[in-house]
Amino acid sequence: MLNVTIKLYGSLPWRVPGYDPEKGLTLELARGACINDLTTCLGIAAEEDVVVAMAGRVARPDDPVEDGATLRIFPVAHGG
Amino acid sequence: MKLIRVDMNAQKIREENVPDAYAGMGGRGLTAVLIDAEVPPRCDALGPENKLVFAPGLLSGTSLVNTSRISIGAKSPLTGTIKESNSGGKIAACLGKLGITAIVVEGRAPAGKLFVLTVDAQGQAALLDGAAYKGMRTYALSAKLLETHGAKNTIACIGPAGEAQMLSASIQTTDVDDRPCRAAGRGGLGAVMGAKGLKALVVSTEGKSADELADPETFKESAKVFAQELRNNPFTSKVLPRYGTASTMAAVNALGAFPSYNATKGVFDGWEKINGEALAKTITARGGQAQHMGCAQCIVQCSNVFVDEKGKYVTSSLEYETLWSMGGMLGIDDLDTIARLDYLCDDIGLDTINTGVAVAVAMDAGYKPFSDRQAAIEMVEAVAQGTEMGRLIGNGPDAVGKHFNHHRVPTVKGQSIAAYDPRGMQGNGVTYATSTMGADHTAGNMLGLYLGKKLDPLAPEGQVDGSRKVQIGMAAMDCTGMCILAGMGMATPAANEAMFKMIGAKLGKPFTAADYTGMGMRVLKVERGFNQKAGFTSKDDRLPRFFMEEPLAPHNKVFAVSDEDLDKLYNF
Repeated sequence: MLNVTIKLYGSLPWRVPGYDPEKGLTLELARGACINDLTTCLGIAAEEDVVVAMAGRVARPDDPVEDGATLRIFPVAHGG
Repeated sequence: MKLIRVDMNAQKIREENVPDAYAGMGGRGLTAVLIDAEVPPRCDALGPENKLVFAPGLLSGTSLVNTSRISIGAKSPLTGTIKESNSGGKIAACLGKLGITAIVVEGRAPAGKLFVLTVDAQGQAALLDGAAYKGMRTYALSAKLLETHGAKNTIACIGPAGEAQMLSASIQTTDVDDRPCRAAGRGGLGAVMGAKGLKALVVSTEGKSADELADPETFKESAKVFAQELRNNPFTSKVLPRYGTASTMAAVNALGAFPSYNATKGVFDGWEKINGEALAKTITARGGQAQHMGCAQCIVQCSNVFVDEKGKYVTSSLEYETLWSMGGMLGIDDLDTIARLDYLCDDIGLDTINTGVAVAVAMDAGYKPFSDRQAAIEMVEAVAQGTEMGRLIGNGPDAVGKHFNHHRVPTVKGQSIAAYDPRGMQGNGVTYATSTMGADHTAGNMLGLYLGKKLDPLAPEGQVDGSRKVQIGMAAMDCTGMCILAGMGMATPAANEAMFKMIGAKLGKPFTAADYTGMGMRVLKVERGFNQKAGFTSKDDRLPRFFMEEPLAPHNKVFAVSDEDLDKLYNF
């Protein structure tokens, strides 16, 4: 299994009752899981305008999830 | 369609119809062509030959939402280049509703004299003695001016920094709640206003003589479509109203491109204490306004009202760039301190970006330690006091760097970068280097391209082409009076088509996507032409050396776009 930490931003935490922004979520995923598997697991639809960042990079849906990674998921932003 | 020219030498005002050479231009487009035509490029920016232009956007004063951006232009004393700095609030919409295409402030008042320019509900301008307002900070000044001239006015003004002609001086505009908390911050245009002897511009909110639209029905229908597209867009309808521009902080830290501790780290340890979520939570818990309408006709409402623990007003609006410049760059993860610094800058009349970075350079040079909250407040307050250190801070990062002989000064053409590090977002480095205005994120921010996976932010390839495209688009948008954030709603074909139809309906001729791009290109060419006549060459379109020599954690990359590629930006 893969163990990952998920940090959610914007309105995404509202989907997870009791979400603790300091700790985030810890999830176990099957070996070989990709980013798309992760977002599906979290109930995030493919057409939603969210970004998954892993290891400081924007991840693609078919990128493999790295064991022990912290993944940050947030709505698309355009600067301020 | 009229220009109001204000001769500060003789305190004379005259009106004229917009000359053909400026017809069909608004906002940044108008400030660019007017300054290029009328200001000697090598003049002293703080001298009488410079002109200060207040130009609402082409669509300001119409019924279209989110079009209350005013472009303020001049030759910049900070960068030596042409400059357009834009601000929200109410003034652009009000000038538009008065049928005023621009106010052009010329010459220089006699030494020691200070004036206030008023524009009444009929669009008549008058220059009044402003001696009583000398030295006033912007909050007290705005309250006094509204008390004197009536509540149905809106204001653009300078504080002590502008009067002292400091190079980071802003021009503050009042928001919908009449607070001078919106800023044309960049480029030191407050110093130009101070040099002219103009303390404030007071404009009636009761104008009813907006320019007639050539095709009002098409405009009305297209304006509805555009507004609906904004309401449908998740960024403008959900993210910005809830978390403001601070919502950007998660993305930029997640990408390792958030310049912290004077651009020595790409992730700020305390960013989750000052991000959009923390800000909204704090404001809401204290009874402030996490969602707030700061500008006229705004349906996005990305502003906020930050209050202290007792619920008392501190500042509005606490924005991403300030949370960075006064937060991450200084190693300060305390919202109350950042809010206080934001208020001080607005009140003294200072660009929060340039000022925060000036403080960061001072800290990096060892003047005070990073994270010293009180020291940061004292350094900014010192600007208003006019102390030696205050003058250094008020004149920006370059002045501080020279004083301390410190090499790490993140500026281009004297103006500080914004909250995107060129090593973590290479395309933003291209924009900083090549913009006609010195380092300026609003000239062409690449964040959306990176998050949309259209470009790798760490690879040098493709960045020049990306930046060129975004810079042209922004130059065009800055002509319209449309807010940059609402402009993101133009991501859909329907919104794009509506925008082009509205410009056509205003001008009375077909206006296409190609015309829009052409408008942006024309603006950039005019601005670059002015800069070249002022003595700038492609050798000036470079980042400071440390960005090429000091890798930024966590990616440990340097800025890697070649000089040869940078020089291709203006290949159009």
